[in-house]
Amino acid sequence: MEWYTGMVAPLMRGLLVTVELATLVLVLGSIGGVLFGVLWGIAGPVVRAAMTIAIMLSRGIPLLVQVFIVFFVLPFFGVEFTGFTTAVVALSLFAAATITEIVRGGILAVPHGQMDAARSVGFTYYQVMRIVIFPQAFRSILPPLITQFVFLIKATSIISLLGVPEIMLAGREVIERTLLGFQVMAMIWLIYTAICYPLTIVGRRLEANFQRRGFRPALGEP
Amino acid sequence: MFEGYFLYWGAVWDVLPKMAKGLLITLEIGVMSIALGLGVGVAGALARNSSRRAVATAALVYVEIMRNSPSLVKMYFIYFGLPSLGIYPGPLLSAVAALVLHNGAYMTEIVRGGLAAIPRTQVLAARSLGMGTWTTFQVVILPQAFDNVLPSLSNNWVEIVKDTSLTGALSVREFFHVVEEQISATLRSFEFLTVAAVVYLVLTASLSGALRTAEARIKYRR
Repeated sequence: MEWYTGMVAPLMRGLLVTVELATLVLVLGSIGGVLFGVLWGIAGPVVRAAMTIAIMLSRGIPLLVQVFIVFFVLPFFGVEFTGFTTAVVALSLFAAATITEIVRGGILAVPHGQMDAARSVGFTYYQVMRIVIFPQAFRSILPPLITQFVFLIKATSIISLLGVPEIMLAGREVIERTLLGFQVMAMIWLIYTAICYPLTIVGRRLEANFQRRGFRPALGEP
Repeated sequence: MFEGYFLYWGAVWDVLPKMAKGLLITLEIGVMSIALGLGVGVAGALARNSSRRAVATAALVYVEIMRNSPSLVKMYFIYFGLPSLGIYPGPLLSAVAALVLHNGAYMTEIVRGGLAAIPRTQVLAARSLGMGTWTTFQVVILPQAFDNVLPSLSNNWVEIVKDTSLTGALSVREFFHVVEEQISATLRSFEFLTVAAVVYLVLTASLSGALRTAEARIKYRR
């Protein structure tokens, strides 16, 4: 019983925060990524340049630094966030930037003849995108998207450094109290693996499936 | 915006030696993790291809448990967990060990992919010239595999450089740890975070730029 209330219960409370955070980030990041990925196709040079710079920044700066920037720098612009909201905002922005790249790659992997053919039978641009291009792009988007999901779930761990009580911080608190460092960290390691490994397997299955059907991976060699 | 706040870049200028020292440690961790991780990657790739079932399975399990959990978990596991077993690794050693184990798994898969792309005839040709197994691997197979996987390795190495920012959580005195310290000492968050972002951008951009140049040279040589 002591073992449960002292170690398992706090970790489970932390896990709940991690799951909540990860779910919000994956949903918001996916919505943002799809919107921006589609926007890329119709955007002018200025918007494209802005998006390229944003993606470059999100890839070149460590995520922890980005989180700190959202936490410390946004208050100067009159926006103040709690730790959890900061985490959601910073990680979702990062997620949106990386997913934009994946969606863009997926759309570009659909042969241009598809667009020409659909336009010539009288579809409008948006109809073509919705009915012809996106369903095909989706198949090549899905495997790298799931890889990115796994990356993002793992990335939520750094939020502990901001003081958000997710599983890593809960683990550190339990270690400080019980000194059971080995057991606690092994358990957290197992929990992350139990969440991420099934996703990895699904991603790999999908990829093998689509390659067999002759789809090229979205971000592979041209 | 910026009400009552005046930018004072002198705050950064005053602690430049400290920042430089931190940057040096960041570079140290990065270079060591990349070098040792590559060693683990090559060994892991060979183990994955081993004809002994047990060795191949062990390598696969290693890759999966490493890739499906955050690098921070491994840092904590080594730093807070191993002392329970009577092993006391210092912060720097824990940080490098965790980054090597984590990214070694990624490099294992990358190098394995590169090895798989080398035609069997290369081995046969080398063997018929009288080269031994080791010489064949070292002189014929590995250099070609390395050329093939340089772009993927470059991505992983950039990840390593960015991940060094997490080692501050083990109180390693690396660059971002110094930055955090200075922010809480001077409250000059805007100035310090801007400098940190620029420094990391320069680091990651020059690393991937250098590797892209190397890649172009390789293509030219062929």
